[in-house]
Amino acid sequence: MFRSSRLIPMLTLLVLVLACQQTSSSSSRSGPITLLFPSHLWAQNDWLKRLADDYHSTNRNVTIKAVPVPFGTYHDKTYTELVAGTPPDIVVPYDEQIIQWSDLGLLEPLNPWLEQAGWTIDKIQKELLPTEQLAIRNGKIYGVVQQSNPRVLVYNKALLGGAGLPVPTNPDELLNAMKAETNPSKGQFGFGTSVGVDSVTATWNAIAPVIIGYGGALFTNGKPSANDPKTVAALDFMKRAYDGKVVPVGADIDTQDALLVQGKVGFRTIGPFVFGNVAQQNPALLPSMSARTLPFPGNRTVSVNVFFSVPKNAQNKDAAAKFIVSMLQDRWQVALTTTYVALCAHVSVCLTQDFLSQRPWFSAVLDAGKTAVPSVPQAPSTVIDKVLVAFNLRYQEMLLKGKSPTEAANSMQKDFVDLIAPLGG
Amino acid sequence: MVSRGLRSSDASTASRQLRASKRTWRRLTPYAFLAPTIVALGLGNAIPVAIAVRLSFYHTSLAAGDEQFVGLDNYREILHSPEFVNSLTVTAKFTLTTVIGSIAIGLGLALLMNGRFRGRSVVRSLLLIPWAMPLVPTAMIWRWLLNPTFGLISWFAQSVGRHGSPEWLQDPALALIAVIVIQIWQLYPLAMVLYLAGLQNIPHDLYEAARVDGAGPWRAFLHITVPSVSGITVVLSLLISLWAFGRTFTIIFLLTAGGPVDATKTLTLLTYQSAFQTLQFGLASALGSLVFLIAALFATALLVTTRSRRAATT
Amino acid sequence: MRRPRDMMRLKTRKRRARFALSALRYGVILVSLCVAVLPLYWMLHEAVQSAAYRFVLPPSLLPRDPTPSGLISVLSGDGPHWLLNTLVVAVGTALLALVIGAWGAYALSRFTDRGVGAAAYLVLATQFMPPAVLMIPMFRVLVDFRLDDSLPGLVLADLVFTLPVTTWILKSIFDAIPVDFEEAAMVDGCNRMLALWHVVLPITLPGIIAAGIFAFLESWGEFMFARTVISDPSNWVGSIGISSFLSEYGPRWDQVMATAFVFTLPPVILFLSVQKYFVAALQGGVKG
Repeated sequence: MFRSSRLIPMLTLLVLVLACQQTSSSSSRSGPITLLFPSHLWAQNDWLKRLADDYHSTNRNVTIKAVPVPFGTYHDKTYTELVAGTPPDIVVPYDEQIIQWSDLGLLEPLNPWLEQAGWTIDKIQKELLPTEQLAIRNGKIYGVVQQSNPRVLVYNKALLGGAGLPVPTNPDELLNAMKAETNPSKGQFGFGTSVGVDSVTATWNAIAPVIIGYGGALFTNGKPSANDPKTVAALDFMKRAYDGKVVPVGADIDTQDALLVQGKVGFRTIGPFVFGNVAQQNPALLPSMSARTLPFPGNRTVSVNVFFSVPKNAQNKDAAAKFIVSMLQDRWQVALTTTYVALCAHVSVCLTQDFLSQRPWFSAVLDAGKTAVPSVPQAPSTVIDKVLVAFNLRYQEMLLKGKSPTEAANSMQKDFVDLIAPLGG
Repeated sequence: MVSRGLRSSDASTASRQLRASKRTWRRLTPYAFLAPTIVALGLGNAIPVAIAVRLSFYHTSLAAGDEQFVGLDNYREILHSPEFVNSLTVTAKFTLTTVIGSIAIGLGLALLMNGRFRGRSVVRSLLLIPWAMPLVPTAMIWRWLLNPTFGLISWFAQSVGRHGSPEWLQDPALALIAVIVIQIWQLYPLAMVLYLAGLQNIPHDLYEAARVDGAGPWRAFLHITVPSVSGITVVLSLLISLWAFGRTFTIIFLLTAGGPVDATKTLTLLTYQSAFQTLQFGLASALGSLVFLIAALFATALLVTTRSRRAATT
Repeated sequence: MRRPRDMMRLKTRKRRARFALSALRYGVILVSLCVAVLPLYWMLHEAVQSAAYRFVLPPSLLPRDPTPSGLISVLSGDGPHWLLNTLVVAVGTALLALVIGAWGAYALSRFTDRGVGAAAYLVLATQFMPPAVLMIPMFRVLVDFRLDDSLPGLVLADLVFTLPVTTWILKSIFDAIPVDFEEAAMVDGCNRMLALWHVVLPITLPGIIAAGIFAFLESWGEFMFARTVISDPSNWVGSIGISSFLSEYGPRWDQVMATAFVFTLPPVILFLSVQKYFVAALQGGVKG
């Protein structure tokens, strides 16, 4: 007879069995191949589509399936798919993810395909952007830089002129100019930057140019360096800016972007892509916008880098890798810079005279690209996110709870030391 | 139902067997009714919970082959971390205030709406709107309304005479309050609807009798209204507190992502951070299991006290 | 015995007090109305306001230089498709939650042995685990059943979250109906099922509709699981669609707000039209 007392243990057993199941999948196919490529890049502009169409025209049996994904969703979702056993064929890690995902063994080394197209490690290290190094670990190349956005000082010439000031050449002049341009009743602000409303990564990306620009860093060669005097000086700059009320507080990244496009922000330490925004949404403002390298003492900057990679468990690794390598062709590198207004991987190739004459300020971007380091802290990959979380916390404490830059830096240092202690570091 | 024509002993055995199978059938009937629920929740919830609990004893980022048994290490790490204590405090404050606020406002509005007046049905309909609004647009519009520079509410606060506008979502002292207010704003309609229905079921004679006895409106409220809707209050308390404890994740995620300075980082947001930002799924699972335990204890306590109170009054 | 003049003064004082209370009552109701409706109105306001005036202070209550371009581009683009998908998922979840939930709630309400009590508790227990921890394992389960990136898959995911609360709401509704009703029906020859169908359901219909609306609304607005489960743009629901306008390089605000408004309006309208029905039915139920 069917007893309820037996039913419950049976159900529990069933649940446990199903819980311990591992998923596995992988199969290689010949014949027509569809590359699954979900990304937020599809919706941004048509460069990727043109690249995909071009690849299809020379590889008739390969179609690339464009799946747009909202940007805010992309990395969480892709990580879920990677670990759930349903990876796409091509993924788009940024600085942080290329380190995390390659360390976790989620990505396929692309060396064979790169070498087939003539890109040996030597050639890569000589001719591609320095930030490509981030994707190379133990001689294995886990991704190819698609674009790099080094941070420069983007400024509004009209607002500067309105305040009667020249282009700032050092932090104090910059702060002065920011204050002179701030007029809250008109909704005008000197400095478009983040104070921690957004995600931890977005906030770090906003502040990193200043910290790195001063020559400081959260980690140097794997060791915490938050209390380095240069880092403290950079934090001090941010605090002075915040206390000077030149920042539109409460504005998230999206609002910052919108304010810049409306001509209501004097300065941003951001990548050149904002010019693309302005061109698209408020072309009348474009002649007033310009850029220069960061006027901070360190003579360095950071860049946010976008990579293309192939998951280790992808269904069509071969076709995917070949597609990625195809973007290194000269004409696609040029097209990338023209479309994205950012640096391509093969930097000596992508800037044409035409492009530079139309955008003279882009030479600042090129210079920045030479000194740009990836924005992700040089901490062990397993603690990077915790580092950013700790940074965010202490940074907001400094701004909102009245802690001094030195206190904030010391707290950060202690946090970081505690984080790497269990790793024997 | 004893059939005729059998010998008496056979007849009694047969009837006993029949009664036994009927009893078993009757005992199984509820489970037959519950079967679809059990299947749906078993597959959809029990299995993931089991997976999570299992992984709570491992260090893992879920990548293949990346599992390391560590016993109770994750739990130890959590219980010793100040982050956990902070999240526990934030969650407790958030839950308690949201429950009390939603119930109070819901009941208050239900009382106000209980009498008859012109346009009552229209007003009642409009008051229910917050509950119907989906989460993503709600978070976005509130964020915009509370923007210290351009938001309507901030501008209103400024024009009512404050120096500079409060940074609702950016000031650690204010952010939790702002988030709680928004959550109460979304939940009070549920309370209002349930209380309205409950209030209408209270016989008028009770109030008449009270008036005759000389009781004022406040005493009538305390001694008639509140006890009559106590069942609703219990259900609401349980529902809203479990919601606030576990499920209001999305709205806080979209409004403040747990900041500023962790002021709104409830336990569920801390769990999200461990799972998706620091990629420590084992730790996240351990945290989730702890939340599970705390919620279970809380719900049990609530259910036991209400059942004993009901048993005492019946 | 009080004098007539004193009686009049007493009456006037009472009248004034009643008037003051009335004014207070209407005042509170008015303020509550504004608070309840403001965000929805502001969404529309932002959707039609011209970009040039978005960052101008002070904000004005009426939109400056309103333009329908944002709304038009949403409605002529993917907006209707997303709405349809959202509708399919929400209706599917609501129906399943009601059917399965009603069955379960009936059992929980009418049977009180230990096993059933445990089941009631377990049903509630499913709400205790934070969603962040459940997302990846649930996704894996959906993948195992090949339901990932599909609307039915999302319906099942949403069902898991709405079923427990729907069941509990229905249970408390069934609890309110005395068992005598069904007993009477069963004495008359119905078995339990028929009793449920012919006797209990008609009386509880308003409450059932309320529970269904609850499940519908939860599923309509759901975001975290939708964005994980769904990939293909043909399967996008509204919450994903809105977030897609928050691009890496800056949102198209008019489109974001327009989509948000278009996405918010249907559940609000649906809810408003249905609530009149079941509130009236409730009043009728009390009288009859």
